[in-house]
Amino acid sequence: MEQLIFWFFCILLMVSGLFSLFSRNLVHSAFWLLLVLLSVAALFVFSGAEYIAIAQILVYAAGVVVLIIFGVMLSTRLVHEKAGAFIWGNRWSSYILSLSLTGLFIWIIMSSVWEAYHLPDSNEMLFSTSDLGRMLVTTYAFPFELVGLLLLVVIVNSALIAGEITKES
Amino acid sequence: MKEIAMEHYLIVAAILFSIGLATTLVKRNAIAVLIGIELMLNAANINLVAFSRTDPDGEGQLLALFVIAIAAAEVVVGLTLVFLVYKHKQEADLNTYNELGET
Repeated sequence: MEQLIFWFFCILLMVSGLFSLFSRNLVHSAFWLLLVLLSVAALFVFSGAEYIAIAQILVYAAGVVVLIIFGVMLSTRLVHEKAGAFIWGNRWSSYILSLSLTGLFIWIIMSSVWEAYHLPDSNEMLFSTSDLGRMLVTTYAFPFELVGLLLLVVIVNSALIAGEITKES
Repeated sequence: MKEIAMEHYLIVAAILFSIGLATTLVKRNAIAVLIGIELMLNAANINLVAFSRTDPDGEGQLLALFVIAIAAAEVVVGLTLVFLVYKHKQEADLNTYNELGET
């Protein structure tokens, strides 16, 4: 049963990723991106990282996708069908590059031995959310604060630039 | 949860990374290229979290959390830049972004 749900989310992820790649409308592309991000959150739950899954849904699915959709809709000329069009000339070479990269990855993964990474038989997970929270305020407190500072700088920067844009027009 | 093998996560992440790479290379709109970058970052995050399953220190999950936060910052700055250039050029086509400064 778990296998079945896992493969359901995997296939959902790949199919919506491909739709996001091939759709010519930028808004459709953004909505397929939303589906990809939610399936990635499901995969996080399957590997026992519930906190990361919640952060993924809050930051990506609720933040980034809404930002992209708003951004696209605010500038109407970005939406028309040319917006999803492809770079001329090197389109097929890009597809061949990506496909051969997939083949290379899968060949490397299949020819390696992953026995060391199989989970032990005991039922509890090795690492819990409370451990993660404790690490964030002890060993990794400085990087955590640094990320907060980075987000503050980004907010101030984009507010400043957006203010300039509205002042000019 | 333990009957899902490591290889499955890695293969799914590899396919997602390739889709993101193809989006980045093939699309001609700047925002679509940002979407491709998000797909590639998510593929890397799947790998980080999958490898931290067997790690009692769980540093992979911590790194995935930082990647999510910095990717949010990256997409905000990227969209701001796209809008600045769009306002200047009235065009979001990356093929026309071939000069720096005022013209």
